Amino acid sequence: MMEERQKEKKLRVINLGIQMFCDALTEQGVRCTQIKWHPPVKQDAEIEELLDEFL
Amino acid sequence: MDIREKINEANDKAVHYLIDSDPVWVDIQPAGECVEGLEDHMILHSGPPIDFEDMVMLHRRGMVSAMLFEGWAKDEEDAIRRIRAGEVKIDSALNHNTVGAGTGIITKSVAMNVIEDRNSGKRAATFPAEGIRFQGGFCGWGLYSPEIAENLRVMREEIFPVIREMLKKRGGLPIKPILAESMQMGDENHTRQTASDLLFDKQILPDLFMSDRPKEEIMRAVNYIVETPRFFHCYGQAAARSALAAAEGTRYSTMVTAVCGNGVNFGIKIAGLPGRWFCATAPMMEGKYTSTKFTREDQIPWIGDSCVVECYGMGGLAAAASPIVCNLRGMTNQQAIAQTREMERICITKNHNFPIPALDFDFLPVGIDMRLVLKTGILPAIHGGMFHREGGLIGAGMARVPMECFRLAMKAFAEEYKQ
Repeated sequence: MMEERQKEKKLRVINLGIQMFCDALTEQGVRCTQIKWHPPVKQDAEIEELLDEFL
Repeated sequence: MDIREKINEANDKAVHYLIDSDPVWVDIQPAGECVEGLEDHMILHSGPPIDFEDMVMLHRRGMVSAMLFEGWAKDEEDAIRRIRAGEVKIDSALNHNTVGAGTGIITKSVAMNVIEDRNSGKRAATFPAEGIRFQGGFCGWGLYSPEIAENLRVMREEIFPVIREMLKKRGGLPIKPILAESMQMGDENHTRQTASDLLFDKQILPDLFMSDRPKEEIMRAVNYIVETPRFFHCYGQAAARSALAAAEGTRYSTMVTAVCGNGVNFGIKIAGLPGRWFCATAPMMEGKYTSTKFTREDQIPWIGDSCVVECYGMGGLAAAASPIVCNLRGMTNQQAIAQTREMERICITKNHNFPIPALDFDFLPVGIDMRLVLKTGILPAIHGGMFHREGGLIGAGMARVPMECFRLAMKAFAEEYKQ
């Protein structure tokens, strides 16, 4: 019973973005799933305008 | 039809040159006979065009090696003097129907494998592997010695005539089935060719053994093929190059047809902007060294054209096909799959010729679209070898194509096509 409770308390982490946070948790024995994410890319105004036109 | 529709239609056409390509190994010829525009007293090199004075030491040594190999200079000093006097023309290999793997040094009399894309009729030639002792000697890793020159002569005059005779008798060798099957067997066909080498050997060796030539001649050719690691690499590159050559010049296409480096600059080419280069500073590779004695200080930035295979949808785009290669960089199987899934987001479509077990038989992405790179910020992943400043291969890893190349290309595209 005690063991089951301890299992329930074990952290399960989903990390967004910076890989080193996930690596640090994994090294400490915490199950961590890395989600690859970065903020939307902002190109300069000229490229943004061309993308609006061409894509 | 608005410009967006024209681009989409052009990209569909360009990417189908890759998907529908039918590369066949048809010949072995001196470079002077199969590389279009390769003149006498001309030396080709990898990466975008660069002046002799700006080259990294590996390329400068390659230029000198080529001068000595062709008999255009009597010694190193004489070679450098003649190069500086403009007695030889220097050009990028990718300005011709060839690929400069590694340092990519090519001159008229070296033997080349010739691949014909039977879909488009385009031909491409690539420098063959140099055997177990000297692989990467002349063309690849920026090394040169009298022994390497002698090996080139032996390859050209003693080994290749046997192989060429066999090739002519069997009527060529289709390359695409080998690429497709090997990518279900753990190869991504840039850093790893373990399966494709075996599939290639299985096709070629029985025909070689049927040759009427003396046993010693046959065995010399057989040993050259089976003992050389990654023997098949040049065939994958030529297959990619011939298909990409067909796509070059597709008006309105934003598909990438070349990504390559010269150790100083890194350049890309775009199908709708033929003959033009878009360059930025060459990136460093991240990966694993072959020995603990090597560090980042020993390494030079990206050099070589072999990532022509990425433009064809292999290598870094095919990470899911080869978790073994990705594991060399400490990646898990899931991360290898994620790399291919990420590449899907910057590609025009998927190649139904390349279903991958780890993707539940989903297909590999193909045709990098510069618009999608700029929109998503996802840079193409390119696998390859890491080179020592003094020459030689010191590891394998991955780099990303610099964003600046795509920005420059997009601005040039707008100048060319804006309505």
